Amino acid sequence: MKDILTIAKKEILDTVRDKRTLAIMVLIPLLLFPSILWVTATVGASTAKKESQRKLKVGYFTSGEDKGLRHLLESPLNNFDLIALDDTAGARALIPDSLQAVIALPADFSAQLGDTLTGEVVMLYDQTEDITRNRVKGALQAFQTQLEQERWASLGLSAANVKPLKIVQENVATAKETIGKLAGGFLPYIIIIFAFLGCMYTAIDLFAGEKERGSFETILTVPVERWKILVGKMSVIVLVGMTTTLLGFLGLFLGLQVVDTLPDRILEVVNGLLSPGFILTMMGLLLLLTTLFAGIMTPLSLNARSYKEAQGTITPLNFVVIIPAIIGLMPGIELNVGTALIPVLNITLCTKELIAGTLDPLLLLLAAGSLLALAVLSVVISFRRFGHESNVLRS
Amino acid sequence: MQDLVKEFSLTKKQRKDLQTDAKSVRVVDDVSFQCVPGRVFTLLGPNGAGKTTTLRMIASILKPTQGKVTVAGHDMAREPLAALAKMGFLTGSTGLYDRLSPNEIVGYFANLYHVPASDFKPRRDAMYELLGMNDFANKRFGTLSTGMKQKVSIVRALIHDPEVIVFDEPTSGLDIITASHIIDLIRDLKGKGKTIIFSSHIMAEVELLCDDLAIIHKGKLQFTGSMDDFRANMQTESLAQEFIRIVQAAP
Repeated sequence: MKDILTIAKKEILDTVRDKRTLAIMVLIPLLLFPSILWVTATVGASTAKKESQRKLKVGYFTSGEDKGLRHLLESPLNNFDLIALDDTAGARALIPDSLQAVIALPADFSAQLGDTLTGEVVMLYDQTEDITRNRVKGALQAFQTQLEQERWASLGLSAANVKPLKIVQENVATAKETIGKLAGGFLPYIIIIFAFLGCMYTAIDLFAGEKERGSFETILTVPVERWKILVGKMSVIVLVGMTTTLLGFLGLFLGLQVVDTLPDRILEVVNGLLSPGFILTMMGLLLLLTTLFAGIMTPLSLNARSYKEAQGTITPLNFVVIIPAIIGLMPGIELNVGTALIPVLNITLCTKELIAGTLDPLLLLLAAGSLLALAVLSVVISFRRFGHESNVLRS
Repeated sequence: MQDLVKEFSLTKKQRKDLQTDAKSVRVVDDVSFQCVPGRVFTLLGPNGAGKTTTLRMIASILKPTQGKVTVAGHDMAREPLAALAKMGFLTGSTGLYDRLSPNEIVGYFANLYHVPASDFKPRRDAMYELLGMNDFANKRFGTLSTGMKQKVSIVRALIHDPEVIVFDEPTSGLDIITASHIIDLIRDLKGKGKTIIFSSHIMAEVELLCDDLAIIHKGKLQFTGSMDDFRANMQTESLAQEFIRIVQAAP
């Protein structure tokens, strides 16, 4: 045990002095989410507010009576600068630079409405200008509501007369369950991506990096069993993977605390997640996942001649592990005996259920057992690979 | 070392490159020699002769296909940890950890060799003094010159006061002053009764240090005996010429 600790301590010291690993292990997970949330909340909200208050230049074409549409569009509430057009032939080319949208009424618009038929209103817009489109569409919908009310009044009817059903929907799921299903899909991404990144750079540095630096041969000449050297190194990979993920979580929680745009009930659920049971279960799953990652990455890193070659081999695996995480997000995919056995997918589904508070302990045990078995298998493969003399010959 | 054989399997690509149908290649073929305490044993051979493979088998980095390695009375196959605990292994290409200081590196290896705390500091300080390392003992290894790095490697390999020391081209790439320090150190170790296995291409170093000699070519021993015997039977004027003659005469 003393030898394993000696090796682990040295590898930790070596790792925390590596700027590249340190950036991936600490800076990125800690700053990523606060940065994203800050940008979304402040810059995004500010841009949206500015855009919604901007005076829009809206082209307007009609060849006849418009039943009061122009009057409604000119309301100060809409904040439109209505520009009359002689025709609509070149209108498309004016959007979005000269005009933000164009509203065109056909010649028979008034006649259609007079006959209580449907009058056509053509709206030209730029799909990429979402806020602009919604503002113009909102103004037209207000006009439609006004016309509907006028028609019901002329027929002696009210809205209730033409709307026989009022569907009342009551959500019996708790806020925790609802948010758990939504956020539960997102959190596994953080776990998987950060655990993978943390493990990857450390595994590459500790094996392929050591071969590249020529120190691999040196460590094999010390009077320490090779399995102890391997365990010492792999424990650091697991530790860095777990630290990276936990810092990612910390960054997310800190980000959510400083952003004031999140509804209180979501914030309450998020803060409520930090129970000892949740943290312990997540740490247990994370430990198994990072051990599995370490077990997969170690032989690949050992097999590579250089840091770069190992990076080229291990990086594509990122996409492989993301696929089960995506499957876990699909509707209808639930945690059961079958899915609990599939690595990564079981982490995704367990996390969702855990956040929702509906995790079946037996399925959790099954998922943990499956991950443990695979982790042990991957460590055994790593050990066989570690003892192989081609590691020295390929350096 | 007794009847050492090392064969490597060949991949299809290697077979094609070497234009052979053989499934394996024998790199070391029936090599036996004995190294004695208080003497420097030199392993000589041209590039690709099998010297490094032999030394790697002695240090248990590679496993012999056949044969036996005994270090300070311990069979490397049966008691590898006991054998390695009594051996220091140093090659010219040995790398260490760029992000650690010499103090940290030497301390790390002292812990792995289970050097008692009471022995560690005096032993380390004496070697630092001998090799002039005190000025850079706390600098990062990656920032040191080649000569400084090799000095750290030497202290690393000797911190557990091994009985058997393997030096594989230890002065490779070093300036003449640093190389001279290392030669002096090897002499000093010999004087202390250590068993030294030394491999080099530099004939001047061999002449200075060698007590016993083995010449290896294409994996096979061409000569083994004392340096005195070798000199007595030389058919040419110099060690270098005699070495070339033996290698060229080999089948």
